[in-house]
Amino acid sequence: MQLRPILLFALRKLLRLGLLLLAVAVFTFVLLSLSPIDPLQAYIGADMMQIGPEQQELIAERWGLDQPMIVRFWDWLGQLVQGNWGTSLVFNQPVEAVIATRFQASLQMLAIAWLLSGLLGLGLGIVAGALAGTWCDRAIRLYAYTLASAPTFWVALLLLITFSVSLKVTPICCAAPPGVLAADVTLWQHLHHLLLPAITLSIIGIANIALHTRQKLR
Amino acid sequence: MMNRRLRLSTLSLGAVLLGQVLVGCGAGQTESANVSDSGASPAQTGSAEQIVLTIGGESEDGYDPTLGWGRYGSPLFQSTLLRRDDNLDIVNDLATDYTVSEDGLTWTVTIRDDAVFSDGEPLTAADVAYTFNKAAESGGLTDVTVLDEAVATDDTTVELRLKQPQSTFVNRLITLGIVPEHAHGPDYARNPVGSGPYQLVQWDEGQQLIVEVNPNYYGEAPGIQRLVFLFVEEDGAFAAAKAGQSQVASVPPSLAVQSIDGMTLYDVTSVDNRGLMFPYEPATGRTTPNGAPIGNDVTADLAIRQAVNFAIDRQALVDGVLEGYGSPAYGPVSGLAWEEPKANIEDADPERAKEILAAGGWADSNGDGVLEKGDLKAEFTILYPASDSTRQALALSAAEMLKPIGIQANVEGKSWDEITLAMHSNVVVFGWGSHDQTEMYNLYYSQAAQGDFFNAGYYANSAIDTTLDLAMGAPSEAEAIAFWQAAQWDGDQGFTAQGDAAWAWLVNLDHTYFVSDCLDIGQPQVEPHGHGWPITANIAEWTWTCN
Repeated sequence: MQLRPILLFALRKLLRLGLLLLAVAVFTFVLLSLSPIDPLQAYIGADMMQIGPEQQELIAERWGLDQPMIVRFWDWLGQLVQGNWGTSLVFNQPVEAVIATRFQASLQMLAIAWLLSGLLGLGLGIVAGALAGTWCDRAIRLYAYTLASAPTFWVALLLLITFSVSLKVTPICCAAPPGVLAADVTLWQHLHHLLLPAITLSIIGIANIALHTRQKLR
Repeated sequence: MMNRRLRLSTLSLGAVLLGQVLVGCGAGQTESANVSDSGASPAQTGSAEQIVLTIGGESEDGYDPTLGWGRYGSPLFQSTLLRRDDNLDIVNDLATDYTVSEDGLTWTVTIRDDAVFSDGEPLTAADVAYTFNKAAESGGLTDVTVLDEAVATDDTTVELRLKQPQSTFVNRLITLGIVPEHAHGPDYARNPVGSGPYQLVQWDEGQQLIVEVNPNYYGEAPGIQRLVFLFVEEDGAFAAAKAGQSQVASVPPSLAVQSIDGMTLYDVTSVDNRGLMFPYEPATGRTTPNGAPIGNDVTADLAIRQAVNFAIDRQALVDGVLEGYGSPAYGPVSGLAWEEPKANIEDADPERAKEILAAGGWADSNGDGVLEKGDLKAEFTILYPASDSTRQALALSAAEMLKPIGIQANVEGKSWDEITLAMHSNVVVFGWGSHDQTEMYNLYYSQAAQGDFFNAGYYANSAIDTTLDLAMGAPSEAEAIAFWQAAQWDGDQGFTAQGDAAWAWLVNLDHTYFVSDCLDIGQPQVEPHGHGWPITANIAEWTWTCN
């Protein structure tokens, strides 16, 4: 009895999602195709003078740029439906592989960031809501509004300058210490390199959650 | 009452949550401090076992020579038939000898018989033929389209048959790393197998590349066992060097003025040039196939182009804009063996420039400080890519130097997309620079002008075309050099300042690196366009000199 409307609801939402994704794909494709940036020139860059017209045609052929936009889009969509995500031009590698390797690192970072910003944001939001109007509430709101309007990369740079360059407690780069093989990376090294990016994402996330929580409590 | 209790309980819940997180945070920080003490020490300093390099140069599409990997610097994993030594002279590597037929169409190369790929398989002439044939049909960043076919005539001899003679083809023998026919496929770029000095151990994309000595390498064993290339931005490279974590760091000139304990600044000469390209023909309404206008009435006047060349103080540009890390450039190949030294001029001479302009019919008839010739005002626009601060400074300084001689240059920064439409009718600050003379050919050959970057100014001189053709058609680089030089300036004509002055070349950038005092990197080559990876050209010869 209860199941039917739920199923219908889910179906309708899924259909909408599919249409939305299709629309996004079409728009992205058309916009990129019409953009004045020539992918060929971007790829060749400063080697332009050593790559003759014949070679430029070969590159365009490898990338399918010699085909009209509609044909290229149809090819891509047809392959996608059959489960072939295609090959990344930039990385010369199957798209699944490109996404898979990066997704793993992102997932860990996002998990930590969500957890931290959830807990801290909820805590600060509750404090601010309970003590609304006091100096404590004002301080929390100042913090939240400041961070909510600061770009992530800027906050990241500030933290990098403070903790990596000046205090030297966090690493400057990468998911593991330089020169250490993947098999030899210890759990501590892994966490050490995860720390700063995760904290940065958390700090940004806190602001929104704290403000929303405070609002609900008022 | 009820309300108050609720508030209190929510408050305490909040405090508890907050407290927990703060404690967790504090603990995390002390742990991280411990980790940095214990974990960072192995990578802190270099040794003969391992050095860390922060010189950029990550090849995002992998390490496949048939797609262009190794076109400058060391291909690391593969080796090439020939290579250029410290003086850029051509010497044998895999090849033991090579000859070019009378008609320039057949290059016969004999290779050494003791070369082995890192997987233990021997390298034969068949692999060489496969590599060249594959590269010729691959849509990558190496142009081997002049090759008709490559044929292995026996185990150590390969014939490279060309569609037409091309003296610059020798650059493919210098840059194209040989790949194994048996192990070359779609996943090769991420699992390179070759006969080079190093082999791939691990590549964390966007982060680092770890390579180790290839025990099967036929040449002298490299001095450093393991190389770690960290892919960080220039600021990161400097920070890593300063922290003692990197032994070779490429840094921009603005950071090179600083000093780092235990490191020496290498100021490497390059042919990474910057210059002003002039539209050569008058504006007649002609357009490129894309509809971009061609020509500029002011810069079509020889007197204007020559006066600009003589008025500019190139040494002042080097000192002022490049912090001294550069050298004056008078042609597209300043500093290379095929430069014509007689093409150099005595610049920073506004008086000479004024004489040239006066003789060309330019005079300031209305007294506004800018010259006129009939209805034409001596005014043009210099375009530069807005993201490039060095080119901006060069353009502004050059414009300032032209004011006293009565030429008004307006400087504008634009995106590359706007520049590509405007570059056939405006002066543009371009930068090129290569060990391959094909570049010079494409910058000045009249037929190369087709509405793109090739000969963007539509320069055309049939005598120069003939000389360039002779250079391109010569059987060897050594024989071609006389023609390359004559095209620049033969005492009578040429495309440089005393001749047609098709460009006003300004400076060559130096490439600056901090190198550990314990590391001997030999004598770096005059580097091509591209700051960073070119320093690896002789990396197999580097040695660690401390204990």
